[in-house]
Amino acid sequence: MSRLRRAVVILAIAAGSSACRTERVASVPPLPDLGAMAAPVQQQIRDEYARLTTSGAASTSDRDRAAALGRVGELLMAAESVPAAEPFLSQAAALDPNDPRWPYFLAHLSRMKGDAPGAASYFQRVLTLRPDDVPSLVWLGNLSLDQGQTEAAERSYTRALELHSNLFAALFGLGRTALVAGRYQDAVTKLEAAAAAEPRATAANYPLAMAYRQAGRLDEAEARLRARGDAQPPVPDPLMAELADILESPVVYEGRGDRALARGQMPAAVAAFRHALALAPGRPAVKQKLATALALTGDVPGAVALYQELLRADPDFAAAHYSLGALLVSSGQWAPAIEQFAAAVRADPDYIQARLQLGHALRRARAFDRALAAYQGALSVDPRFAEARLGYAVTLADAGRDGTARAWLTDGRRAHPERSEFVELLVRVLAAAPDPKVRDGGMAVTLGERLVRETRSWRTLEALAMALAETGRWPEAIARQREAIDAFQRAPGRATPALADNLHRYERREPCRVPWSFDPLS
Amino acid sequence: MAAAVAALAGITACARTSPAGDAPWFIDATVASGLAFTHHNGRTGQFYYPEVISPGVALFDSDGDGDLDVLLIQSQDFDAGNDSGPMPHSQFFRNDLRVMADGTRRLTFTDATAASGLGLSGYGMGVAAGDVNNDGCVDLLTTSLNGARLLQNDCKGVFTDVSARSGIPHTGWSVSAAFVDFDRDGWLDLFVGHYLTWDRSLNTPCYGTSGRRVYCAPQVYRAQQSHLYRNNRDGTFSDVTDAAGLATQFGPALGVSTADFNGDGWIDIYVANDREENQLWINRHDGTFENLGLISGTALGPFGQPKSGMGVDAGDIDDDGDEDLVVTNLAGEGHDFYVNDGKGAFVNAAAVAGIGHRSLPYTGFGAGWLDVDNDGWLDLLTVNGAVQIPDSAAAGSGATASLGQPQQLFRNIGNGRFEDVTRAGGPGLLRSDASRGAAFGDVDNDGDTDVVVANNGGPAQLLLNAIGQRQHWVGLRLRTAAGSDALGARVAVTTASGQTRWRRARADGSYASANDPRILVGLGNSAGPVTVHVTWPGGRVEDARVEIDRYTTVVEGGGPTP
Repeated sequence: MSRLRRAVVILAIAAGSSACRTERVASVPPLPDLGAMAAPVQQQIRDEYARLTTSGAASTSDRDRAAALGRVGELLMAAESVPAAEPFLSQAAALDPNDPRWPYFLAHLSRMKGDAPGAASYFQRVLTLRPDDVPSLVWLGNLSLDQGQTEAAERSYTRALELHSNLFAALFGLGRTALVAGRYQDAVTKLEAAAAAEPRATAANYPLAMAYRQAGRLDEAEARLRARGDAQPPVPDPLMAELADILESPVVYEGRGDRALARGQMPAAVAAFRHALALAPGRPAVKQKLATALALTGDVPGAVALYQELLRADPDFAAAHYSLGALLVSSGQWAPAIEQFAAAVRADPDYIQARLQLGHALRRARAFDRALAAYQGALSVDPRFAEARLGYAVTLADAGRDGTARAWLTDGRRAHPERSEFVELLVRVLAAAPDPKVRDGGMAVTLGERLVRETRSWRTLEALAMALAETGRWPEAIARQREAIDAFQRAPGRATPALADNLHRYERREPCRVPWSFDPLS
Repeated sequence: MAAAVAALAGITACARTSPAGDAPWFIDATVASGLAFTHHNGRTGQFYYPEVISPGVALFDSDGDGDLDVLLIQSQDFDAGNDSGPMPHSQFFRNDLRVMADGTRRLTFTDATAASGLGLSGYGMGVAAGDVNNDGCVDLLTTSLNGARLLQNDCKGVFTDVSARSGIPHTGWSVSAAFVDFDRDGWLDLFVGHYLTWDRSLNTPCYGTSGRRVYCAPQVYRAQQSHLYRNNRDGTFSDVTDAAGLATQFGPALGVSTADFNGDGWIDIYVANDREENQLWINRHDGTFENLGLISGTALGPFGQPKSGMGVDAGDIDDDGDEDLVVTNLAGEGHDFYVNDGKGAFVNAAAVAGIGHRSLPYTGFGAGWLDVDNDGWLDLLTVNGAVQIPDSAAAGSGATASLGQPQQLFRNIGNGRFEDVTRAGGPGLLRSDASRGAAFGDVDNDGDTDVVVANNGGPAQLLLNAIGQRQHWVGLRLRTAAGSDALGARVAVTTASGQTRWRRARADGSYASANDPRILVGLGNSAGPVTVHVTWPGGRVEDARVEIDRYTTVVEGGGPTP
């Protein structure tokens, strides 16, 4: 930190300390108009405010008073009432300048307002009180990076990494800092380290792609772009985690339910959705989610009862029809599932997931023409919908229309270069379609080899083996098929396909004539 | 001590003020010029999504008299038709600029809506301008919640709705559009950016964490496919979206800018999408395009996050002869600033340039590169306005003002960095409006760039540039042999000292708005004549020597005329 900036920080802290003596007698800040908030949230804030205003006795310690002020500030902040929260938290910080919570929340308030320098100065204040606070270091690094202050960012991330080795957020921050600073090879090294520390963190892939591109390594850049995503482990941040759950709001409980659902914690999801409904009974969308969570806990009768209740209240509630259809599919009841999906589409013609599932169900019921119409309907709603394009192509192949399937898959590959399924299915059709006019072993091998280089799985290996067999490269076909079987045995939760049959076929020097013997869309 | 800190901050602020002194850089001339227009968003308290999206504005010379007229787009009530009151409509203002013998200017606008045929009703969104029939007069395309309209100019400033026979369907929610000659046949084609599928029956209640109603995020609704239309040269257009390869990759489009981003001489199309990847459609010279948004680095934020792209503009901010990009985003996201390497690979330099974090408090819509002080470097103006009502404001129809934010003016200091000079811009920039569209152009023909801002639920604003004319400049109107503005033409202007500035003729960019197609190049204190090197949209190259401090028309194949 420069001498001037350090002086400014010290002055600011000193100003805060002196203010505490004057703020001690300051009046309690007013509450904003809470009228638009949910009633339980209004009540929660008013109760806390009442506690604060009635605890103004002289006997109350500065620390207790700060805690009471801070509590109201936290509630307002959680309610996204940023301007109203600020004076409460500022007074709390002035009354109890040694409590790092208040500058920490003020830092986030500043961040929410878009005041990056203000937020950074509050985080620095936290770090003077608690030098090893990893969340503050990471946030400070992020804010420095936002402001193009790469050296400061690097210092913060490096310190965080010293305190918490292999912390993804810090490794990722160091990589991003190198990228912003234009040190592209360094960025590659650091972002690769971040990706290695947390392989599920797909968020590392985009900046890594940009670093590879700038370093002139375009193939690696393209591969990283295909793998990009937004998954990254959160920074351990107990204060903000507490804040996220503090409100007695139906939206907060719905969010908790959603997160639990995503993590597969069904009982927690059920509890959260029930609580949300208790706070706001009239929200069908929450009831719908509760039913889904119930179904996933195994309480299918409970889920069905809820869906039916929703449909009694609103026979055109498309999501309820859709979910009922999904439940019926899971128990193999195709005909009633088709009815439910069709009802969902009638109720909401733009419901593309319902159109897709209708297509899948009709395809499974071998009603190919109707399935094609359903997929086409989904594509007419959204031409970007890759799943519907895949479904259409697979249905064509299942119906024996291999030539048209090949054309659709070729178009799909062009339209969705990020979706390797189009290539895999195209390789299978080119290698194993019964119609010899459709097959093209050479092209299948070329595409299949590239596919396996990029995505190695039992499915891609099997597709390549089919292609090799079609061109008479038997030893390689056999080797790839064996690899496919090995990969399959390592892949959990799959029904056994006829991989061994194809291996024996290749050993007899017979090509495959069935592009797939499993549902490639399952 | 707090005072000492404030004093330090004050010194910093002073350091950023204009070298021209304390006089504001922009003068609010709205009332004085008679540009009296108030947008009506029809807000109901039901949080209807379109309420916060419009409107745009066009600056264009409707009657060929050499000055810029104004079309301000109007919206309406959602239950319009049931109401017995007068229907709000778009308004057209004729520019009656007079230049006195002493060189002073008297700028007045006259409401000529009735005679112009531009008193459009419906829930309007934006406007694009270009000569679609090569008669030398500017035609218009207006966008709306319920479809686009093509309006043909009779060259006297009277417009006829030719939508029905044009082949451009009057359906879908379109916001920004651009006329672009993508096939280099000398006829302007058309890209229409579509946003979301929405009607009142689809309006979904959304809630903030406190349980209060908020406007939904765009993902709640389905994105509509944008469309590319090829000009059939007979007054009709053909939808070539599928054939051109644009059908399967699109998002909720809000901003469009067309330029040659990879330096191959063919015009490409950049689309800013709301919370989805932006697209950079690179022209493949055969009527098709390839989306290279991702690998170009312009699809996402610096670290891969999709942002709420709204306004966009392309311009050469570093004088290296290629088109750089700015995209305005939602508060908390920061605007994106993409620097081109000349071949269509961009580096997001928002943080280093000082634009990213300084724009974090604001939701940016209209945006334009303009050389505000005519020092030769392109500066940036973004017009801002929130899309969520703060909880301190009631949700009813009177809450429009609560969306207000000031504008932001960034001055290019010539080393890839920008300083925030909004305060120097004057009170006109600091006003709190829910700004959406902004059209950039020299409204008073004095050699600097002025701005008309279209505000949601409030009065429009005319900001006249008060400092640009203090420096030398050169103004160019690039016209095709047919007499149309040569949208997409590029020009390199080289001063006597050998310094070269690159600009292009464009009417698109910003947000839902149409800009002055003329080119203005600030020359600083360089006083001699300049050489201009024009690359016409069809690929022809010409050089001309032109005088400074005046506008010169350069006709393709015909050289300059004053």
